[in-house]
Amino acid sequence: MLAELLRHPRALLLSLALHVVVIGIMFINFHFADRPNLIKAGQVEQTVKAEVVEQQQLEAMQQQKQREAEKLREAERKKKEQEAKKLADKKKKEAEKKRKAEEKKKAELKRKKEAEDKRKVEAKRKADEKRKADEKRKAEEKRRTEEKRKAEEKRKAEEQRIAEEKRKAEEKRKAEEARIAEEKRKAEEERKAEEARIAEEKRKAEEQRRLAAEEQKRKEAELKAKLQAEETQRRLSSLQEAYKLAILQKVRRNWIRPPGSEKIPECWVRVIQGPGGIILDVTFSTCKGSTQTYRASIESAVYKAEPLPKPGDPSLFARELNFNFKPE
Amino acid sequence: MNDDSLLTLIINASLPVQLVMLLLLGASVFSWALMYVKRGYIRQSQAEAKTFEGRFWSGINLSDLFAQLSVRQDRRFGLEAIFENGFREFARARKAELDNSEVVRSAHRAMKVSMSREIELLETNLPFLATVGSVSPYVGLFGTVWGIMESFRALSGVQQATLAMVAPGISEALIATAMGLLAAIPAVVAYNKFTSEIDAMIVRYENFLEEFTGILQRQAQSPR
Repeated sequence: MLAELLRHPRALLLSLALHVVVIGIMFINFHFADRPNLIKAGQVEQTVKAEVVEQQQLEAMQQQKQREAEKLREAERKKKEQEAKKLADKKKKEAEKKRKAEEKKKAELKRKKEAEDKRKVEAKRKADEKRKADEKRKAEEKRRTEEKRKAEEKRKAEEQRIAEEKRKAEEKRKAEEARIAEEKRKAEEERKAEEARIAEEKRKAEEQRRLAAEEQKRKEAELKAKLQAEETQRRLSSLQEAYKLAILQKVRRNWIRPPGSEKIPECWVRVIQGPGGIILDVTFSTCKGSTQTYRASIESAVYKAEPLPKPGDPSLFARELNFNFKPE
Repeated sequence: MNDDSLLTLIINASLPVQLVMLLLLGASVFSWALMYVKRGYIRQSQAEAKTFEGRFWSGINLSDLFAQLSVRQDRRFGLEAIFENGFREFARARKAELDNSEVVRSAHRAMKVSMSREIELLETNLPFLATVGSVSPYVGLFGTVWGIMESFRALSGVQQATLAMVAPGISEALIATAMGLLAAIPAVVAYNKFTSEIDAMIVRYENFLEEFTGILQRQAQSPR
């Protein structure tokens, strides 16, 4: 088997290619097919529910614990507050004593501070005067630079404006040029299209003419062929007639009239012939009112006529011949 | 099993299942190639028989036909071979001045031999198609059974068995059966078609042989 297949590598290759294509199509189909994930979804839901139930129980327990703890804490707090109050009273009295001593010390300090303040105010006033003179000078300077800057800016704006105007004019000119070029191009295109249209029309007309000429030629050729075919047909049919007649005559020549046959019936004889005019089989399709001897005489006449005459044209040879046998 | 493409299924399959799949794929490829070759040969034989019958019954002289055939160099097959062998034997026997019936009988024998050779050529390798057609479903089934066995055995150690655990294994295993059927169906169809066509060809050859023997018998009776 392998040897025969190796003698036809093309077949093997074709088969392989077919398989590759089929398998490829299957892969693609499988990849696109959506598969429902029902089983997984069900599982997830169940576990979630179970978790929720447990959580609720846990939360209730925790809340109770919390409440108890809070009560305990409240009692503790109250006790502490009372103790703290007592302590605070004691502290207050001590503080009062301390505060009075402190006030005395403060008055002393205040006096000292006032003298110091006076001195400071004097120094501040002098410094202020100096600062003011400075500021005035600085303001003057600033004003001057500001004026300069403004003048500069104005000049620049003017320059920019001029440049802008120039640019705009340039742009306008360019747009105008582009428009003109566009118009020119359009006109050119139109002209070309027109030319193409005319050429196309010409070509079409040419084509039509050519087709018409071809049609004419074809018709002529057809007519000629038809005539020729008719001619050969005529020749063949005449040849066929001659062929049939030749066979019939040869059979008739070989026929010996059997004795005692006054009434001559018509018989359709069917002859099967082989290559070279060999008789293979003789049968009678219709042979009304004939006797056995009569039929036998015809059969022997056909066999004696072997080999049957050849047709004028080989294509006329017929394996099966049917002819009406009747003596003159 | 996130990526459920066919390719991953095949790659994840166990080794015996993969071997079975490979075997089936090979059988399919070979049977298709064989179908192609066989179909070509049968078509050629049919066309040859038709043209030769046309020529034979066109009224050509038998010795002319024989001469035309023996001039040709290529190998003759089908009706041409039967005719050539028969006619050669006939001519040889006649030259040997044998008895008329003996002449025809030896020609008939020669033609029979050459006919059986032609039939053998037509029928070669058909058994392969028949084998693929009948056996590959079983091979595929074997692969499937093996795959299912494996997937159930893997399940034995698990506490909670779900359908999702066995499903990929079974799906994997079922591919083998699908492949077996895929290989078998075309092979069976082609086998049936080819056998019926070859039977028709045999009848044709036999008819020709008998008819030609009749012609030779008639020619033997004519004077030499």
